[in-house]
Formats: sequence, C-alpha cells, structure tokens
Amino acid sequence: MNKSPEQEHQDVKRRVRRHIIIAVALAAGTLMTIWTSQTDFGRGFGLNVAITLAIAGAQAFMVAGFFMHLLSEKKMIYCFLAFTAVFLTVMMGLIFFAHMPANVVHYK
Amino acid sequence: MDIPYTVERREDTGLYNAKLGVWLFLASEVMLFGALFSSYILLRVGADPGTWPRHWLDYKLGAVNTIVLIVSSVSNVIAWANLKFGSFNKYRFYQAITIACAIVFLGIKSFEYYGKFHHYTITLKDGRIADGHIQKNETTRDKIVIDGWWPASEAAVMDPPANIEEKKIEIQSGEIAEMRNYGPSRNNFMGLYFTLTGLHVLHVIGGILVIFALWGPLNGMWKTDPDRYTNRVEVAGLFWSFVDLVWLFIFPTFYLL
Repeated sequence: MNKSPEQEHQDVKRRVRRHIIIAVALAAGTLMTIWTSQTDFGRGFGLNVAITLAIAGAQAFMVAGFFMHLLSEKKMIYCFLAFTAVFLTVMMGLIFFAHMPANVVHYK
Repeated sequence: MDIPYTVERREDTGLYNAKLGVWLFLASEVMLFGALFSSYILLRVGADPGTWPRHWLDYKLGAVNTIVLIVSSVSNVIAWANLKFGSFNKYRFYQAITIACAIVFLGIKSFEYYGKFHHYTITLKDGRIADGHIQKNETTRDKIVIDGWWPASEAAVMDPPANIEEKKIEIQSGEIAEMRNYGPSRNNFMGLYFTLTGLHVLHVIGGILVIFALWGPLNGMWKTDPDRYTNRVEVAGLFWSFVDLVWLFIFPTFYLL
C-alpha cells in the first residue's frame, strides 16, 4: 500500500530524529572514552583499556546497526559478516600464536 | 545491454547487486584494518615497559575529528532518508554537510601531520635532550630554534607530563648529536599511527570523492533513474559509515590508551 505524502513526511521525520539521538549518543560515548581513559579506577590500566574499548565497541555497534542498517539486513549479509568474523579471529589468533613460541622457546 | 539487478532485488540473495558488492568489499576492509590493529596490539603488548609512547597525540584534536565524522555520518544517513522519500533538495543540503565535515576532518588531520613532521627530539653531544616544534622562521644553518622543553631522560620523552611549560630554546648546530622528528620512522608507534591513519585518510578521500560526484556531476541520474540513483547513494553511504566506524577504534587506541 502506498503511503500518503503526509505519512512519508512523518517517516522521514521519525528517521531523522532517531539518527540524531544516535549521533548524540555517539558523541557522548566519545566523551566517555576520554573520561574512562584518564580516570584511575584503582585496578590498573588494564581496566581502563577494557572499559574504553568496550565503549568504542558499543559505538561501533550503533554505527553498524543503525547508520548501516545492519539490525534489519538480509541473511546473506549476516552470513558474509559471520565468515568475516571467523577469518578475522583466525588471523588475529595466528598473529598472536606466532608470537607465543618465542616466549616458550626462551622460557627457562 | 542493461546491467541486471541495479534496482530490483535478486531472488537468491534478496539484495540488489551493488549492495551485495559493497558488503563484500567492506568485509575485505575489515580484514585489512584488522591486520593493522592486530599488529598494533602485538607490538604494544610486546614492548618493554617505558618504551611505548604515551600522550604523543593531542586527544582534543582527535575528539573533535571524531565528532566531525559522527556528524558527517548522521548527515549522510539523513540525506539518504530524504532521497528515499523524494526530497532531492534536502538530500543535497544534508550531503553538503557531509562533504563539509569530510573537508574539516582532512584539514585537522593535515594540521596534526604537519605538527608531527615539525616536532623534533634533539639529543645534544653533552647528553641533554631537547624536545619541541621547530621555529622555521628563526632557524638558520648554524642555529636551531624550537618551542619546547628539556626532558630529563628518554623515558620522559616517551611519557611527557601533562603540563609542559614550553619556552624558546636555541641550539647551535655544532652541539647536536642527533635529531629525530615524530614522523613514521621514529618508532613502531608512529609508524603504525601514520600507516593506519594514512590508510584511513585515503578512505576518507575516496569516500568523499564518490559522495561529491553523486551530489554534483552525476546527479542527473535522479531525473532519469531515481531508484538506481538512490541505491548508489545508499552504497556510498554504507562505505562512509564504515570509515566512521574504523575511526571510532583508531581514536581511543592511538589517542587515549
């Protein structure tokens, strides 16, 4: 069923409003990463790294999910991305494992 | 001969071909940037304590650039949404914001790069170290002038204090044992910084050229084949959002942590 011009106008307005809210959340996330990277949580810098990267991950999810419409995409694209995730994990794993034997060999 | 599935969706994939293609391309991009981020993590974790630089980049500039890219992403998506519902003029307006933001981003990045190539650590023959930005107007063949400070050691250069009081330092050329700028050859950190951000800048330039072409010289398609034109804008937008997404990881990794 075709939408009336008024309905289409409302659709655009709704989308624009949602995207602006997400943009504000992304900006707030950026400020939060600055804060979390500079605050002493009393558990070592590793916690700062984990929290900051978790916020960056949440921001990336918002960009991919809403700006790239990944939350409402076709199965084919999810399939591509699942393969990409597997290959990326294997590649990162290989890089890290390539580093490990040196430690093992030199370990006494 | 008509190219099939530029507008209508294929039955087997449920997508028009350009969208399928751009997602495959983005998947390969994930691998490309993933390899570089893996290298960064590996080198950083493997670095001896005190040898990995901290606070070498101005996080305020990085944060401004992050906000600029977020604004460009949202304006890009709003432009596409307007086009989808037939508002060509609004599309042009929002996409102009996207292009302007990209230019601002590149301007700030150029400013940062310029600063790094003019920032030097100078080791004197008596062992003292000076660190700061070269003052080109006052520097001559016999004398180097920098706005900078005197770090107590190489460790202080690696992690400079937050509130450095910079002053003008004049060094005679004969006193200098070594001069190193903050370019890509400085160390692993700067090498990776320039590689990753340089690659990202190339993506920004590529993305904005396509967005500009669709916005200006190629917008005639809107009159002849509006659905296909809208799809082209969508796939360009997907790439642009990906460029934003990559930056969301570059910023905390290099500027903050």
